[in-house]
Amino acid sequence: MSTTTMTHDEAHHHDAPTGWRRWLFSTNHKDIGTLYLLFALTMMFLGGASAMVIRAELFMPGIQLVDPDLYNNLVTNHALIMIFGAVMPAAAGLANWMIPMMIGAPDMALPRLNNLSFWILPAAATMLVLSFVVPFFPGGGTQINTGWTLYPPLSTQVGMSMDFLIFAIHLLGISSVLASINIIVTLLNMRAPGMKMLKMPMFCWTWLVTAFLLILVVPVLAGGVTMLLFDRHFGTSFFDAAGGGDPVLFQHLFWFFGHPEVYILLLPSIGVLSHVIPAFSRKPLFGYNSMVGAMLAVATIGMVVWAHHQYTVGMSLGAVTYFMIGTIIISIPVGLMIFNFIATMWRGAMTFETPMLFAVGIVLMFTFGGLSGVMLAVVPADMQYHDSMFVVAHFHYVLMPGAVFGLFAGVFYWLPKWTGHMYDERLGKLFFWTNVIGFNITFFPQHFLGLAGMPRRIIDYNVMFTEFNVVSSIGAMVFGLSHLLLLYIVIKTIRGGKKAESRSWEGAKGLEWELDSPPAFHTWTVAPQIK
Amino acid sequence: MAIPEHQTPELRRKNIRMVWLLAGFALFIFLTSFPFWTGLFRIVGDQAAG
Repeated sequence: MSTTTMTHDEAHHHDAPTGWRRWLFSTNHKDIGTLYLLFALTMMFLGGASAMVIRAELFMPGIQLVDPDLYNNLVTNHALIMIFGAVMPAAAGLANWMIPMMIGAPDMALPRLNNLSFWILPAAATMLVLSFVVPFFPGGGTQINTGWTLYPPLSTQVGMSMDFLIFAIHLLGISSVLASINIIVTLLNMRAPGMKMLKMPMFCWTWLVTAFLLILVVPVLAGGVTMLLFDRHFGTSFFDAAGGGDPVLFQHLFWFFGHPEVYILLLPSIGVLSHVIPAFSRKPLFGYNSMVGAMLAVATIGMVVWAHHQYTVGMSLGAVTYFMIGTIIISIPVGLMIFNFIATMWRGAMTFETPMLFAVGIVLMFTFGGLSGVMLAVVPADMQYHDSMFVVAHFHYVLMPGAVFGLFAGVFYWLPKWTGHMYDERLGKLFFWTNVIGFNITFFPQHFLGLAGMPRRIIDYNVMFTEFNVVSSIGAMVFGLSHLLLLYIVIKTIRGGKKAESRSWEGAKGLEWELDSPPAFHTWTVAPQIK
Repeated sequence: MAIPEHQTPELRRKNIRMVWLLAGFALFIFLTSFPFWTGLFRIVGDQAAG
């Protein structure tokens, strides 16, 4: 993409507020992006701590550290914190930082709404953490032992902590929908003159699709948990068979949200890859239009295959056949994206800096997670694998490489732009290898545990599963601790280091690289002209 | 900060119009999720029961 000369530094560091007001009242997309990223990092460590307790407990058979209800509460909290507190806000942080700079806009379309979207999050996180803490107090009721799916009738019987969780989900949903609206309006209305839709950077496209998905499915989750709240406190029987309702209805409501949520987590990272792989292959992205088409196909088909998460509930043969075929069909556009990435790398002048290492890792490991997903999509096979550790291994292979490693790739790719300093490449690579090796040692053995019959969400297990669990737990400790290195690298880069150039990477393309590193507080006050 | 040249009042109105449209759409999905899902579920249930 080429542009005419720009005078983007006119407002360099003018009017930048200071102190706590800068952050609390911020309407600047870069500051709000930073807030999102810091929030996500904090929640990642919180969610990671619960995962460490889970793996410590599973290190040996028997019950060692926590009681069974608390174990299941940790499982619930780990999932909710990681999905709603870490991955989604981190992706929103990247969106806030990068979208206006990529499309030549001075800020998000509605900066004050942007501020509100972020500041709802700490309130929601407080409610989420309270839902975990409340049962420890006298009269606090029972632990949330439902898992993140919150299936009734168990969720209608849990104590008041479930109400905290329902309100937390409402707040998180409001924040997500407001942020999505802002992103859609920004992308549709604020692009620089000459930037047609099919000239938009791929990261922006992925966020446009993600934002629409969020608006379509988050209100359904909100509807579901509201019905749950009514069943709990207002005498309704949406999910109560004794009153004429059916608990399976909640499963449909939940998974109508839950399955597209997977793509909500994945797509922004696919967007990051679409910039990282061309930059470090020194080639343009292969098949831009087909990537856009594949993404739209994934989003559309992904909306109508939710019930593959509930084959074992007893649906008709016609229904499970439809959901099975639909699910397997998704692998076609997803495969197309992966082939596009491989074709971009093909005969490119590739170098393997940390973002590219993560990108290559994603292509390999996410494909592996996708293949075990095809196994799970097959109805008779899923009857065997359902609710086993195989499923845990599968979705971690999808979400860690597919979503989280993509975010790591994005952070390392854009960190020089944000901070004005190059990160320590040696430490970056060390982080990559400890992270990836730790991840694989943790989750690869879980495939075998699941195939051998170890159920998930159970605190104890048969002694025959001990060896693989020991390996998995050791891997988890390495994996968990490796994130401290990420924290160190980020802090070190913020504090100093080699000065980053405007175009921090030789092969990087796009409007954001026309700006200084770090960019001025206000950028693109004069719109660039796209040729 | 000076108002950017392409941040015109007309664009601002256009942005706000689109926000209300999208927010209304989200609210529509939220409110219709109750009757839609319960209705769909009942139809599927009736069919399964023959």
